[in-house]
Amino acid sequence: MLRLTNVKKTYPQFHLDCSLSVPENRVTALIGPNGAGKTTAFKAILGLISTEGGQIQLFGKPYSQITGKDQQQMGIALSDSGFSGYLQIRDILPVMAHLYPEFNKERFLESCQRFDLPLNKKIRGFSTGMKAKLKVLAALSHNAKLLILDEPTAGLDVLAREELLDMLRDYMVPGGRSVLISSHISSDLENFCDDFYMIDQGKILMHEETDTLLDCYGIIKVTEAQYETLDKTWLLRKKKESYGFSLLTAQRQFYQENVPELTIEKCTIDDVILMMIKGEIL
Amino acid sequence: MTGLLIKDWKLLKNQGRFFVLVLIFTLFFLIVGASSYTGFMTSYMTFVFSIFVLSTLSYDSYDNGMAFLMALPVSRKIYIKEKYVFGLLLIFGSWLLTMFARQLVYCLSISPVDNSGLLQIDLIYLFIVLLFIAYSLPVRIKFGAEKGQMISFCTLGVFAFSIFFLARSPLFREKLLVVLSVFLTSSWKILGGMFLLCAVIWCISYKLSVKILEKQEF
Repeated sequence: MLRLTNVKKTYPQFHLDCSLSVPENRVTALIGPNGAGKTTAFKAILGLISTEGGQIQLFGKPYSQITGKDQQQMGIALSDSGFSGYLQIRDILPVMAHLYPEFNKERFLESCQRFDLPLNKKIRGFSTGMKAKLKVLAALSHNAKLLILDEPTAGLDVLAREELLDMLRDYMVPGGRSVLISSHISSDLENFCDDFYMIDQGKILMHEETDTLLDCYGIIKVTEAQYETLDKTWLLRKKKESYGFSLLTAQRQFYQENVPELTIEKCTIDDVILMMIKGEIL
Repeated sequence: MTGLLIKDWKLLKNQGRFFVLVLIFTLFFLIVGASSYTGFMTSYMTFVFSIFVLSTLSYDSYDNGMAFLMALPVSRKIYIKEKYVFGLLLIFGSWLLTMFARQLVYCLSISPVDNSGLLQIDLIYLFIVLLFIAYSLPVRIKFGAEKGQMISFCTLGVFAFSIFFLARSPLFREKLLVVLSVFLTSSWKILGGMFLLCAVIWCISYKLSVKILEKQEF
């Protein structure tokens, strides 16, 4: 569906060099701290910024050959941008219908009603959560093959977030569809994504299947003495702590079986982000 | 492009109260002020309606909205084309509406209006508005809403003041009056030439706007 190969973009104090792939029937996440390059990567994919090198392929075509019809196959929700705040939802209905031949007005209106979005109120009067909901509902409204969602759940309460994620899960059911998503809320990603790319300072640090991360990765807590004698073959990162070190491994089971006296905890995506970025490479 | 035209039309409709007030204001002056205000009112209404195309650029950029618009299945060229089409619709629409209102007032004899020579004056106003929008669109696209607005209105101000001060010189005034009288004495060939020139300027303005937008990042 989407492939980025060494896509480069340079700003005065930032350099993006990103490669990633979003295959069909997959939900792929792009995660990383603020300023890591997630939004820049999204903008490169959407042609909002020029790139200085590399290749972007969408639906198997180089970006230069992408047509309006291909763009109609993409549903987009950007974290910092949306429909003009001077419009109302009822105003965007004919706009969407003309831009997207497969726009499903009835379903869109039904979803707006379900999420308590008023049709006759200017969007600039919406709360952050309401704006976020509208962006995702609009992206889901026209039977797109590929969803590009930048921080779609930002500003939403737990219930609304879960409801939106359910809608995204339903969206994937027919098959032949894909999602590229970024989010700061790791629990959303753990329950929804098939794989994720971790980005920091414009570079992809890691690509892993979510199940692998949750099943195989672990945080080992050791004293300095324990660390000295530990087999370091399967350690990825080391971070100094008050008690000694915390260590990130992709082979939790290996250490559980071979050094049972160690304190080993399961990892969350947040733990991995923290260790991969703050930790020392081994 | 139709989707974008609808969007801009909806934005215009959402500012409906303001435009209804402008219309009422225009009608009031046409009825009460009679011939002394007709020329002014034509230019005023055409101008107020026409600059709305510039306002739509501000509405589009509100809250970084351009990033989302440019991510929709709309090329940058189509976006610019729509602005120029919308601009022409507004300019000619409001101009014709004022003409219609004036004729209505005349026909109903609410206030007798001397129509002789007015069409030429109206066409000159139309020409000026067309030039102003052709100049302002690329400026607004290049410099953004606030800076662009300042630049285009400052240019208009400098132009008006230059004419005003130059007109104080008897020699310039004499020449200006000669030029104006040529336009006003039904020289249709000259008026035709003016509009041909205007069409060329609009084409140049359009190409410039496309180039500016294609270089922009969001």
